Amino acid sequence: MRRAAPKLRIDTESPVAVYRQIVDGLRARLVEGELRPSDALPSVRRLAMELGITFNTVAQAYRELADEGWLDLRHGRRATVLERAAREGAGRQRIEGFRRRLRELTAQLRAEGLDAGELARELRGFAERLEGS
Amino acid sequence: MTIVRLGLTIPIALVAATLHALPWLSRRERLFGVTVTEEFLVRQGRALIRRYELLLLPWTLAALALSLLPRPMAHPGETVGLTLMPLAAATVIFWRIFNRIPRTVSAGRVRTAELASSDRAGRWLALLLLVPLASLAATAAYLHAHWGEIPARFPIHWNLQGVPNGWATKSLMGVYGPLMLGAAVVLLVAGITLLVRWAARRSAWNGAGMAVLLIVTLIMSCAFTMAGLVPLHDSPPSQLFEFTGAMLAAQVVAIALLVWHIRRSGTPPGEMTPDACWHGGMFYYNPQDPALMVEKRIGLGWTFNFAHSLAWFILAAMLLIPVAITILAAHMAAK
Repeated sequence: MRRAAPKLRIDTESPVAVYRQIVDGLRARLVEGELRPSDALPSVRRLAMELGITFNTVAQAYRELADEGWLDLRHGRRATVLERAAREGAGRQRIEGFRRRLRELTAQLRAEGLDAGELARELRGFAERLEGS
Repeated sequence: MTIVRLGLTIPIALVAATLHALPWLSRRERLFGVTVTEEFLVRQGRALIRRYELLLLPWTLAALALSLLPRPMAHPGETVGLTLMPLAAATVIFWRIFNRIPRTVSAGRVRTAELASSDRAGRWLALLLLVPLASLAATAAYLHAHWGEIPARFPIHWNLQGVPNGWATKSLMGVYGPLMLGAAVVLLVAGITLLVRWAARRSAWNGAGMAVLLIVTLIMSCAFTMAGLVPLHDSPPSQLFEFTGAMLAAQVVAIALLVWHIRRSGTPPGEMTPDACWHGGMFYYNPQDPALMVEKRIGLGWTFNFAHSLAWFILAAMLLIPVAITILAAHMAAK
């Protein structure tokens, strides 16, 4: 049976750059296994058109993911998901970076009016899903 | 005499009906090509539509009345003139109402895209578009196999009483001409269908529009296949009339279903053509939007994003192809 294609969502009025939203959105689907090795992604032109953004924004996002080892961007071929070996355990610096980003994101969402308790529940649910994966 | 007059009145009536239906041929939340809120639509929108209909009515009635005036023979220029009259009036009325609607709704900020590279629907569409061409090719092969049975001169046109009044000779153009013309028309419509698939954003509406184009292509190929068999079967005109009627009815049903689908579905999430980029509600110009074609704001179908030079190039080509077909048809008629 054919898998339903995952969807990418962006918010053009978000303070997060569109290119960053694409990178983060695709990476999340890659990590969670919604996009698997040898899956082909839409062409830069098609994805840019569907999202109504410039080609360069999508191309930049694809390049960043290729640099991280997620995508194969050989000329003349569609961007394809690569089998990516897990990197060595995250160092102290990376964990610090994660904490900082999480803190910033939490602050941003609270500034936008999201309840702290609701956020905590979401984080707990997220942590449980992460441990179960 | 009555037939001649109806020949003038029917096209004008069709144009008038289309012009009066224009405010309804768009998505629910669009009013004269402008995105409006449900509240505006209920409070002021209906009144604006009524105003458009009432202002247009005298013009359409006048054109219809003039087309029915008794006179010996309708001049070909009359049809054009009487069609342009309500059209010009509708354009002015539309433009004035369009400028009165406040722009309060911004383009969707949240956009989604499927992360799939393959276009299965597009591949099916391309395959199905081969069916009409295959039908024309099969007819040509059938004619070739029965070449000996084709008379030296055969009727190709009949008057309303069923008496032949147009003839063709047994020649390459005389026999295969209608099929060649059919192939050119089918290729044009199939080309437009595939162009839209490639150049426009994919949505449920896009799929419905493709289906209508496919139906139109299939119906046209059936008509040309029937016309292509005339040299062998000497088709009685009554059957052709019945078929033409059924063909038009099928197209009307397909288009009515599309309108119903559009009005029911509303704007898809991620609609990203800002009102500011629509000029006169009809011409889209947005250099920031990579889509070469977008869904029209008024009426059915798609329009170009005129910010891309390729749009101008394709438009010019699309205008030249029908001219070439007309020249070919004129050449065939002369033979």
